[in-house]
Amino acid sequence: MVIPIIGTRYMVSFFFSLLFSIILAEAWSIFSGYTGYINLGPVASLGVGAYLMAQLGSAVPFLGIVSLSSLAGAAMGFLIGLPSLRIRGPYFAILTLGVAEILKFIVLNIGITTQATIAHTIIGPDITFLYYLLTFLAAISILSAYLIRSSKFGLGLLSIRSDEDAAEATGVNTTWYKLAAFAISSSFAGALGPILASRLSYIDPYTVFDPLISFQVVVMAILGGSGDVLGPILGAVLITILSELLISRYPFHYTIILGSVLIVIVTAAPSGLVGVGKSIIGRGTKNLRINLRKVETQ
Amino acid sequence: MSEYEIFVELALTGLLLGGLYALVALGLNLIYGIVRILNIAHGDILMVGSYLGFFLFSILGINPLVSSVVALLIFGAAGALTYALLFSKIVRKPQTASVESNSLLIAFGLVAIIEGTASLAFSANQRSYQFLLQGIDLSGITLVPNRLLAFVVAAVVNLVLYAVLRWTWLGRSIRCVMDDPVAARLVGINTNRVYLYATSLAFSLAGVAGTMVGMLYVITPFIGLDYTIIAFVVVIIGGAGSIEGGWLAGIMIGLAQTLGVHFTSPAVQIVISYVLLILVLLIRPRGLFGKR
Repeated sequence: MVIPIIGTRYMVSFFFSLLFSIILAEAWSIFSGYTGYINLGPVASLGVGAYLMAQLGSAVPFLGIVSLSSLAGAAMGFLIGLPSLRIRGPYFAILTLGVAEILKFIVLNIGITTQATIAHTIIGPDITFLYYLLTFLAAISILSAYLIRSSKFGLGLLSIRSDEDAAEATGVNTTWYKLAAFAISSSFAGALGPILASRLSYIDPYTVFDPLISFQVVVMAILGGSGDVLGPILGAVLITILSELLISRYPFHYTIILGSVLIVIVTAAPSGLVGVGKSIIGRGTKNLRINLRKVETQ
Repeated sequence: MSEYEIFVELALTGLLLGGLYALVALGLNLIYGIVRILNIAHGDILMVGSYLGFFLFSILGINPLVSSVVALLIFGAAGALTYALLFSKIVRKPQTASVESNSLLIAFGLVAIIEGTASLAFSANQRSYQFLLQGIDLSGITLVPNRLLAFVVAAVVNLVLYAVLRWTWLGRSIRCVMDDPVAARLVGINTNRVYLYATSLAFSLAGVAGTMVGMLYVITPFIGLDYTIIAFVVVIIGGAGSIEGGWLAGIMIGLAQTLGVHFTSPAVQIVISYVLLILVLLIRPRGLFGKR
């Protein structure tokens, strides 16, 4: 919270991207981490939010656009989910990737057919304000993830991941659960749209619908451990720090190093960073229990 | 040109393009259908294959057909190595959900490594070469011979693979693993070895497809994602693990794109394949020939 007051400009921009990643990764796992339906297109609602800012930026106050984008994100999650959530597994993943790409080409085509400019210069609030807004949104996303994870709703979502048919049979309304989670997850990405647009101050469809943003979110969430509240935060922190360290020192070898690190971590820790932590703690308590039993039998 | 001739030429172009798409998707079809690995790096492996063809032709003057055989061998070895070093570690875990998400992460890692290395080694410049480009005139309809060559290669590779899967012992065990890995293990099939062969073959086919793509189109180190997406669309429309489905889906997309672009604008090419994908999935979620 005190970073903008005491920190340098560099610190503020570093924590800006960190918070941004935490929100995206946490929101992603509310739907994809808990249900197991991998969403490869979180950038879809992010991009729509950014373009809402471009269209309405001069007419509507900034916080109004953020709320509007978040609603638009939720609506998109609902509308995309309605037909596509009956498709399971990787087919769903590719479909979400496709929807994000279609949106990108629609925005591009609107520009071509109407002769209007598709790239926009954005004048938004200053970074200090954006930073506080991000802090607030990050707190909300973590809180929602925690509340959902520990509620009956969250339990239902987790049961979809382990066995959707069994979940359906035991009375979980899987369609509504998935739709609601997808809408909540997308609403966060939507709200981030205007913030990203203000930070970049210049947007075009290729930057705000960039599939690499989606991939990065997926990597952060799964790497950290997406079935848990803490996991996406860990993943976001790790990847953001790693990118920050590498990109300035090894600008040409940056992606190669990042890819190698990713592969090493995944093969060494298939259940995510949180999973590793848990198994270490689990082993500790198991030893403790064995020792206690020894004490009891003596 | 009469309207009829234009239509025939378009249909022919679409058919040839569709054959290429079927070849591009074949490796992904195998690795996804058998090993259940979501190989997002498929297009990037293909990209490396296209550079192999480019350098062999432009430096040594080697025919792309010979390059494709070279690619078959080199990429097969690379695939076996990748399976042994990376995929084998996660495939052995029984939970399919974590296999799919972890294989996705490994593939993302491969994408970053391959693209980063390729842009350092080959530079970001666009490359292309001219091979069999002189159009043949068939009573008013022009046909570019290198496209025909790519189509023939695609058809031969598809047919050979189909025959291998259908009539050989290896093919039977691969299909058995595809249907039910647990039962396959029970009847004495070494599933791990089948996965190794499938991954190796998938990389080989990506390399071959790459040499054909490099023969026809301009290449850069960043073409990978586009071909990955095309391949996924073909595999999903056709149904995972189905070669005849992939062939049909490839031709469907090729025709739809060629005709669609002709009657509207070039910008819609990618949108067309996605619209086809969404339509097929809504009508038949398993794909046209999918069993699961």
